[in-house]
Amino acid sequence: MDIRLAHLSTHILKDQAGGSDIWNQALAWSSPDIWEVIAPSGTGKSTFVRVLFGLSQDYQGEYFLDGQEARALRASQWQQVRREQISCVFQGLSLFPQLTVWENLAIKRKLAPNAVSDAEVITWLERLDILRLKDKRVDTISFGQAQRLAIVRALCQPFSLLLLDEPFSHLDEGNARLAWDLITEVASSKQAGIIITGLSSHPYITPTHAFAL
Amino acid sequence: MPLPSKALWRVLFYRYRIWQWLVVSTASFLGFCMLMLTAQVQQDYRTITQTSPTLFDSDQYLSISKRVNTLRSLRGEPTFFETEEIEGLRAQPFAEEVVTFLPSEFKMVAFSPNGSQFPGFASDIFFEALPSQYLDVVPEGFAWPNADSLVPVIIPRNYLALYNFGFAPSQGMPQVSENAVQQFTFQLRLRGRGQVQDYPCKIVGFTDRIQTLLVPHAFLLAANAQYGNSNRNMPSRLLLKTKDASSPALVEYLEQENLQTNQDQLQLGKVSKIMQAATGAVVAVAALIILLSLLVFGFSMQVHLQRNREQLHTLLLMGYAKSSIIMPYLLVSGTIFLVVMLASLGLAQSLHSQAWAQLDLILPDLEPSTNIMTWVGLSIFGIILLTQYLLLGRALKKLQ
Repeated sequence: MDIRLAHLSTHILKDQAGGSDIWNQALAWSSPDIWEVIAPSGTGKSTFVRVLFGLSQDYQGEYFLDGQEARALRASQWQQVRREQISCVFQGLSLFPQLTVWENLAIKRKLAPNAVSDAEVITWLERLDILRLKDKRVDTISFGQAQRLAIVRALCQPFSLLLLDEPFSHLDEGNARLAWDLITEVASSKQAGIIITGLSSHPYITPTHAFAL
Repeated sequence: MPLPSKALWRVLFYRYRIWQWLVVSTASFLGFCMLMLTAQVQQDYRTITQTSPTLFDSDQYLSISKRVNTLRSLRGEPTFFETEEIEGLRAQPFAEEVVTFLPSEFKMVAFSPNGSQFPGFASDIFFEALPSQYLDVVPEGFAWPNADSLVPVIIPRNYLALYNFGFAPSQGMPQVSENAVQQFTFQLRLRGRGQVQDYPCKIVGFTDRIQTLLVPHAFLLAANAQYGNSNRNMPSRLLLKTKDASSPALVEYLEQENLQTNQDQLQLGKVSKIMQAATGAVVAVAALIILLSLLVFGFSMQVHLQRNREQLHTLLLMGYAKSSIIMPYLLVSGTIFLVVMLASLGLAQSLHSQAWAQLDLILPDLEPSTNIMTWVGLSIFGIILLTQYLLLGRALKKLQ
């Protein structure tokens, strides 16, 4: 899978002075590249993720997904992209608070029942130290625990690109490292690439390219 | 498409207010019942009017005569209509046509000859005649082509009922069916101007409209000319054809002129009109109720989708197709409307069969009409499903 960005910009950047490594640049990403995008709050990290995930079409310039103009994709085609090609951990997590940890995963796994086995999922939960919360409702666990659940959920589907929008914002260094190890392990088994955003760089992340917004 | 998982149900119906379904179900139950029953009543009405056209005439015919009172009897005043009086009635706005009854003006005896089914039967009798186009039924053979022909007679249906349920039981005589009566031939002996003549005679039909013994107009004209003992030729009864027998002007005129009429005909005419108006109104009300319950459903669904907007949006983000989100909603609402439809169909069927049984007691010869309630129910159900699919699709599109 490959992505080409040609002079992408959005209205929120108009007030910003100075250059950006992403906006208004010509860039090409292909799996299994790992991009790390570091920027302070309010500079458009989430906007960038939203554009890549097809949630925002409010941009200038061009975005090509496997050679196809992303704006030209129909809603049903985007749904297929989200089921099979791009997985995402949102900054706001987008979990279902009334469901348990396991149900949140089940609802995702229903879309691709054979992508991962129960045993794999259990191992992942155990590695991130949230297996004990399996039957707890999401609205009763902490944000950091929910963040780890969102990471596991994103790994439960086929993908060629994993988008991670500040995935470790509520994790301590140790847990963030554990999570990153799991993410890279699963991604490399699928020969998938990663685009990760954050406020600051993490020493254990060794990206193919690092960008500042 | 597989059934959605339990977790998906819990997302789709998160914080759903169940009482909204109760309102929608109750309202549509009422609407379904009313619509199915009314459609069936209209179907029954069509069948009845086709098989018994005389029961609900749209044109109404009233026999009009002068009121006989004691003073008039004592004075020996006749109750004939003068030409001016007839013209006066004809000129009224409610009068479509006025025809005079032609009375028999000679003496006549009906009897059964020895050796027939009813030996020894004999009775003085009279006849009247009207041109055939004013009769509600013109049975085959109701004509008098030549002087040797059998004289066909039409009698009021309720005369037979009077005999069967009043006279026959009290005299220990057998009851007879309409068919049996029509098999019976008897003789008429006409007497006048010094002449006597016998004619074979037979009852050929029954009328609900005209309360008299009717023979073909041609026969009575010829017989009056040959045996009639007067040349006054003045009628004592008139037949008035009107579009609206319930018109206040008509009632007022009859009172003012001291005339009387057969109220039954007035009632039947009214019943027919009222029924048409009432069923029309009920259909409109039922359709309105169903429409309103659909609107309530539409709004409640929209409110729910809006309230649940974030979670549905997440489902779409995860890659759920629009159709797999609509399907569970459609499944639930479809099931509810199906149950409501079947329940109302059950109730409507049972009410209808009870009503039909009652009707069958009064009018035993009625042909059962086609049962259209199931089809009405299924059609409305189909329309509801389609509408719901469109409403849900539209509401979901706004979320994308």
